[in-house]
Parts: sequence; structure tokens; C-alpha cells
Amino acid sequence: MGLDKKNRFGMGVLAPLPRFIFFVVLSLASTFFTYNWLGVSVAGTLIIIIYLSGRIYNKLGLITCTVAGTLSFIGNIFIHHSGKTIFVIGPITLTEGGLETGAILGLRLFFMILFAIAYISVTSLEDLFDTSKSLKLPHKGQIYLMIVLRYIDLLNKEFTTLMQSMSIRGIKWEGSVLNKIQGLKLIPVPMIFRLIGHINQQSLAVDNLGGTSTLKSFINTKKSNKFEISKASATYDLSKDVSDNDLVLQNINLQFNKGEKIMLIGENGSGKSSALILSRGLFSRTIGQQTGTINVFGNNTKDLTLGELSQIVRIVFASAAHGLVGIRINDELELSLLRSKIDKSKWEEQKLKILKLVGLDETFLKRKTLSLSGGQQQRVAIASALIAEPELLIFDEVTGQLDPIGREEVIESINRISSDQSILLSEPNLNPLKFDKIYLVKDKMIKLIDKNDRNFIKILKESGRRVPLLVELGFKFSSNKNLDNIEYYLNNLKELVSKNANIKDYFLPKRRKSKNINQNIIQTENLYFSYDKKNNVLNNINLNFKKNELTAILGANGSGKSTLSLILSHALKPTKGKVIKVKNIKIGYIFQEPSYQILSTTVREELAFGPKQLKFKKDQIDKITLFESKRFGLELNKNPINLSPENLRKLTIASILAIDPDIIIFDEPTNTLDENEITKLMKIIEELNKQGKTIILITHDIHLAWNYAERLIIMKDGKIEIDGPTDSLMKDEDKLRTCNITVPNIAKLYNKYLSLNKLNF
Amino acid sequence: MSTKSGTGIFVASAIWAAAIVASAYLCSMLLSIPGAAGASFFWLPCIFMVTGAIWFGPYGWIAAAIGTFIGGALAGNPIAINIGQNPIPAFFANTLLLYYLFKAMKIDLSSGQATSADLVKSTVLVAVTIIVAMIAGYYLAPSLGIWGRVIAGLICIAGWYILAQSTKAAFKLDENVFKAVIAVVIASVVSAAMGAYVWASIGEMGASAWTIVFPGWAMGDIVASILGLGVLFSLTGEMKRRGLSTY
Repeated sequence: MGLDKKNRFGMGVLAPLPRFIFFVVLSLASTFFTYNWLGVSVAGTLIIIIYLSGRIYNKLGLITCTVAGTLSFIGNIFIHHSGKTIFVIGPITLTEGGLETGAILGLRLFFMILFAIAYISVTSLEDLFDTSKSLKLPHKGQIYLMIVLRYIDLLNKEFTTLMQSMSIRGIKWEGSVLNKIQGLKLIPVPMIFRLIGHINQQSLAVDNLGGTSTLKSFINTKKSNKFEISKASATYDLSKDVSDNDLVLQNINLQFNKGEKIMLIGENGSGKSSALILSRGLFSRTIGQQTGTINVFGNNTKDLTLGELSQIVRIVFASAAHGLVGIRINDELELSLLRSKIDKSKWEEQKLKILKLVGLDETFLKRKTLSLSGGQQQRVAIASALIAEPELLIFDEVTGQLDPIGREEVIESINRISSDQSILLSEPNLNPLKFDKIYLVKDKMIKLIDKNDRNFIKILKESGRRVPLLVELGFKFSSNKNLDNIEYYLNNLKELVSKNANIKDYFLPKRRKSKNINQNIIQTENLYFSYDKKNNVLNNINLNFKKNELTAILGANGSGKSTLSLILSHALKPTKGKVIKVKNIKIGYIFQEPSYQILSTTVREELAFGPKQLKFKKDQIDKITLFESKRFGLELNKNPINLSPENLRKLTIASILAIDPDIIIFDEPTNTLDENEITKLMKIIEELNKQGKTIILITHDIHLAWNYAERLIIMKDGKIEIDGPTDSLMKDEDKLRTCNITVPNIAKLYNKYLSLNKLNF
Repeated sequence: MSTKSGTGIFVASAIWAAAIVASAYLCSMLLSIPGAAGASFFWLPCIFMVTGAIWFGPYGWIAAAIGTFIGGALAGNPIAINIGQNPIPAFFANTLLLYYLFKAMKIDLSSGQATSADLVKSTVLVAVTIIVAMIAGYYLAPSLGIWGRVIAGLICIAGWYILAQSTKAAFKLDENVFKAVIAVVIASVVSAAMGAYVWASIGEMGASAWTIVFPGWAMGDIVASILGLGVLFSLTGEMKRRGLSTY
């Protein structure tokens, strides 16, 4: 398991457990029996044969054992004195016996390290985990080790993103050693804060899979058909004295029956995610305190262990990057199945079925969760919940990182969920009218919304939702409010427009046309990039961006959009090809995952970080810090790890704007923001564009691209597949679909309107 | 109120263990004492060991043992030496002993939060002061006897006075910090003694391990542990608020 072809030599021919035992036995033997020439010669010959047959010659490893062996030799020849003296220089005496002992001990250390390297070269982190499974470590120990090994991988990524974030904001890594030390000294503190930031999310993920307890009994859910939260209040503050101000939810009640589909709506920060975690039964167990009762189909959550609870209810979190536990996709799914009612004999079949349902195939089973793109990780998180077939599934804005086709597939799989299973979700991309009940979360309370309320659209908009165009048109211009069939509008557009002239306002593009966009500001020439020197993530990219242009880059998950942006912003070096830019321009890149960008321990420091590196004057830095904090409504003394996801997103944007870049690359800037906040952000982006900034928007939000971008670039498999003006590209539905892009209804209506106009409408 | 699952501390210590693996790997590879592969002049994992030991209790001690063992193994440390010089001193000296010293000395960690700039500045200054004092003590003691140690002590006090003046916003140099520094010095010296014993017995240095490995190891652990103290004094309040500190 887990071995590449290249690793199936030397010690790699053994399975992880026998390999580990062989390593331990021979290593211990070579520690205790190599104090003489015979021992060293026998052990050395054996170790060299094993090392060479491994066929992986780790350069750094060889340097390590050579340096360590040599130092041991040099140290020991002067420490041990016996036999004839060869020379004496001051306090240093070299004897024949010392020389021999030094040689033996030097070689001994060389061979012992070489043997350890021979083992490590063919043993991946996944193998170490498999060894622990074979050793029948207790369940708790296995989960512990799984988190340790997964985070070793994650730390590597964190370290890389930290360096990228620093380099984007003015730290120079190239050049003198002093530059490197200057940069490196800034790493330990943000690293500790990043680690602390991960703990809550990862704890929730572990508890969602049943925690560390072993499963003892199956839970009966036939006692009642009702899910009920009664008089519940919740707070994240763990201190004993909690006031009403500390509460995130106050005295809430929520009921539904088995099989019903429920949607929560509400502005960002209103408490939707807290309500979902509370419904999952994890709030007081994992992250905070609560009062009141939660009854899941006849079972009070307080009376169940985490393992029992996870049989009947599961949650998928918005951020998959930190919401997965398994080191590989297979581990994640098996961990999920372990706390399900599914018989072990059906696990393999169930894994393949669910992977297919979320648009992945069986080749993904052996892949590391951290090697996947954000969207792919989200699919795995959804699969991990679906595979256990719980009675209640909870989704917290899970489609934000998915490409449009991926989103369609996932929504389709959510819709196909059995009628016996209930769904409770908060999801901006689904039509609320398709749900049995809609609850509004506002002012710490939860209220049932009447779908027939004449203010329904207003309520949706006030709650920060993007109201689907067809739902809005249905309410305004059709007697049938459930109408969401695009064909109806396309076929009747002529009649609808003639009856209601203002219907055009709903689909005519409002995007601004930039002036003076003829001066090239940055361009790429035959750009290639590979992370592993084997597979190209980018293939021959030739692009140019003009000053003051607003471009959207779209493409399927894993198509290379973020990598291209990191190269444009000089945070990554291309493997081949070059980036040519106008001299002295500044490029800002806003990370897709906000936590990857944060470098400081207060909002103030974070906003001032870039300007400081660029040697702005102190009063100028103070002015910028104040201006950006006001513009985005951020408290200057707060620690970023305590910010809500939407405020963290705003901080990442504000801290890049603080360096006043000429080109600003926004990587999925609207993730975690609600529609009201998106509108505010897009106003700021338009304003920046008016000021002459070049804007590059990486997004899966096709509506956003349609509404704001003049030019679309669509990537597929690391290549530029389509590049051109937004209006004309949105006409070729089939071609867009091959790139996992769908044409939004708004564009379909506009295209139809244009074609009717051509026919003298 | 329901009982906590305890997953927070469990997960936190596992994440800490991963950080210890990464830092132990780097230090073993790059900063080893000549002739004692894996015994380092500057042991960065102490930052995580000190904080983990106090915040997470027994889980923190286990994190230190597992983390240093895996980190040492990944850096190619021979297994018997790795066991002797990494998990054993990390568990018994750098964390468990340290925890009980903190408890015995009744060290109060509620000094509040500092900004990262102050934190770095003050911890670096404490570390530099101690290094200067130790080096002075090392060289002056043989020739000046007791007066050498007095001079070293005065350097320490003067350094701390300057520190107290220059970093008022960071952790204050009160008796708690003083006791905490004494605790990490004791834990680091015991850890170094365990490491030197390993290199003297199953390593290859013989008695010379006590003059080469012991002082280098002690110094490396003390400096890194003091950096850990900076984090500890600054963040214990935040960790308590999150339910992640048992201290």
C-alpha cells in the first residue's frame, strides 16, 4: 500500500510491518555489535547492499551520514588514546589506537544512519500509518498518529504558503543570506498561531467522525420521527460567567420530521454555522457551551457517545482543507464507515458508489487528501458524510469551492439523497423554494419563514442570499412562484418583455467598460510549471493583461488557476518560460484560503506588514492601517485567529490593498461572503478598477464573472482553453461545458434578447 | 452543560507533535553537534515541547516523545540512539519534569497577551542575555573561581534590567518569568544529562560526551525553551479561553 513503483526495491519489497520489524531488529543489532572491525564490516556490507538495492539515492541523506561519520571519526581519534603516539600538537594527541577506534566509530555511525535512510527512503508517511494499523494500535492511537502524519504534510504546505505570502508582500528571499534570515525569523510566531487556528476545526472534524471512542452499540432511530432543538442557547466562551452578550444563539427552537429538507438562511455572522454545529450535537462537546436540549429522532444527544451520535447525524463543513482527518481518501472514508451502520462486507462497494456520486473515481482512494485541490477536497468531505448514510445530513455552505459543473453534480447528489434521510443546510447556491422549511437566523434567534409571504424575496435578500434569477422572475412576473424552468422564459421572452419592459433590468449586463485598455502591463511567454518535476500543472501559457482591464479566470477544480496567479505575483517561479511585466509595478495576490495568507498576531500588524516591508513612512502606514480597517469594518487589536471566516477574508483583501498594488489578483474572493458583502466588495473592486488598477478575478462564480468581467479566460488541464470578451464567449454553451463551466441563466436570457432584437423585436 | 469530549486537547497535542517532527527533523539535519548526530546545538522543538507540556498535560508529554522520535527517525538517526536521545529525555525531562516544576513553583501564567513583535523581541533578548551569561560563566569560572560566576550573574541581571526597560508591552519580568526560566534551565540540564549518557554508553563518544554533548545540548535546549516561554506567557489566556489549556 502507498508505494510508488520506484519504491518497490530494497526494503520496499517488504510490506510496511515486516519492513519496520526488519529495520528495528537489524538497526538494534548494528548498534550493539559494531564496536569492532568484524561487526562494522559485516553490518556495513549488508547495509550497503540493502541501500544500493533500494535504488533511491537521497543526496541529502548521503551528505548527512558522510558528515556525521566524518565528524565522529575526527572527534574520536583525538578522544581515545592507546598504543603508539603518532603526533602531539598542543592539547591534541593522536595515537594508533585512537585512529583505529575513530575509524570504527566513524564508520559505525555512517552505516547506522545510512541504514535509517534506506528505510525512510522507501517508507512514506502512509506506510508509517499502515504499520500502526498492522501493529493493532488502539483506535485512539491510530487517529492520533493519523493527525500527526497528516499535519506533517500540512506543515510543509503552511511553510510554503507563508513564504509565498511574505514574498507577495515585499520580503525578498532571493539574494543575500541576510535576506533569507530576515524572512525566516518571521516564520515561527505566525506558524504557532496558524497551528492554534487549526485546532478547533480539526477537533470538530474528528468528533464529527465519532471522536476517539470505540463504537459499542447501534442507535435506534425508530423511536420518533422528530428532530427537535428546544430552548437552546450557545456561546463559544468557555469561561464560567457568561453574559447574554457572549451568546451566539439565544433560546432557539427548531423542529422538523424525518425525511424533510430544511434550509437555514441568514446574514454572515448571524449564527447559521453555530446553529448547524449545535444541531450536529457537537457544540458543547467540542467548542463551546450550550443549554437546552437537542433530540435527534428520539435520542437526546446528551445521552449518546460521539460514536453513537455519528451513526445518525453528520455534518460537512465549509472549509474542507481543515475538515478532513484521513491521511488518504481511503482512510477518511473508512474512518467514516467505522461509525456507520453499514456492514463491513459492503464497505468496498459503498466507497466506489459514493465516490462516483461526488464525481471522483477509485483512483482517488490512494491519493493523499492534501494533494487534492480545494474543490476535490470538498467532494471528499461530502463523500465522507454521505458514505455513512446517516438519518440526518448537515451541510454548511459546501459548494463554495466547487466549479460550476462540480456544483451541479454535488447539488444533484444532495437532491438524490433518500427520502428517509433529512437534510439541514445553509447553502447560497440552492433554490430555497425546493425545501420543505426555511428558517431565518437573525439576532441570535431562529424564525420559520413562510414561503408564501409576499415579502419572501425581500427577506431572502436581507438575509444576504443571492436570490436565483428565475425565483425572482417567478415572483415578479409569473403567477406560479415555483416556476424555475428557464425554457419557459426563453420561449416566452418576447411576450414577457412586451408586457413588462422592466424585466430587461434583470438580465441586461451592468458591467463597466474600462477606458484606455491598450497598454500591456504583464504578460507570460511559453509558461510551464510543475510541482513534482513530472506532471505539468501549467502547459505553455501565453497571456497578456492590459492596464485597467478587469478579467475573470474560470476553470474546473485543479485546472491551474491559482498556480498561474502565484507565478504572476512572483510567489512561484515557472519551470520554463517567463513573465514579463512593466518595471516597478506591484502585484498583489489574495489567497483562496485566507488562513494561508496571515502573518501577524493582530489586525493592525497584518495591515501594516506589507507597507513596512516596502519602507512606507510611519505616518503613512498608520493612515493606511486606519483607512483599510474602517473600509472593511475590522477591529485593529483583534487577533486574526479569532476573526470569523468572512472577516478573515476581508483582512486578507485589506492587507493586500494596503500595499497599493497596480495589479490585484483575487483568488475566489467571494468565498465565505454573503451576497450583501459580495456587492460591497465588488463596489470596492470596481472603484479600484476605475482608479486604473488591473484586476484579475479567479472565480467559480459565473454570475460574478458575467456581471463584472469584460474578459474571460477559461483554463482546462493547465492550458488556456478559451480567452475573449465575456459577451461573445457566453454564447458557446457546449464549448464552455467541456471546461466544466455552465452558462448562467442571466446570460441565456440576454443572448435570447439579443437574438430577438436582431429579428426586429 | 454536557461534558467535553476532550478532542480539542487530543487534536492540539497531535498537531503539536507534527510541529515537533518538522522542527526536530530540521535541527537534527542542520544543527547536530559534531560526532553526535541528532543532538543539536539549538533544539527548536523545545518551543513546542514547553508550550505543549504545560497546556496539554500528559498529551503534551506524549506529543513531545512521538514528535522527537519521528523527527529523529526521518533525519536518519540510528534507532537505538534515537530512542535514547529523543523520546526519553523529551518525555521525562523536557516536558513531564518541566510540568511538575511549574506546578511546584506555582508559576502564574496569566500575564496577558503580547504582540508578535514584542514577543520576538523580548524572548530573543532573554535568550541572548542567558547565552552571554553562560559563555561568560564558562570562560571566567576556571580562572576567576567564584567571581567568574558572580560576573555571569551580574550580566544576567543587567541584561534583564535592559530587557524590562525596553519591552514593557511584552511579558513582564516578574518573579513568575524568573521561576519559569529556572524551571526550563533545570529541565534542559536534566535532558542534556540523559542525552550525554546515551552518547557515552551506546553512542561512540565515551566519557567525552560529557564535555561535548552535555554543554551543547543544555545550551540548545535552554535557548529554545526560553523562546517557548515567550509563547507560553503570551498565549495561555487565549488557550484557556478555547478550552485548550489544562494548566
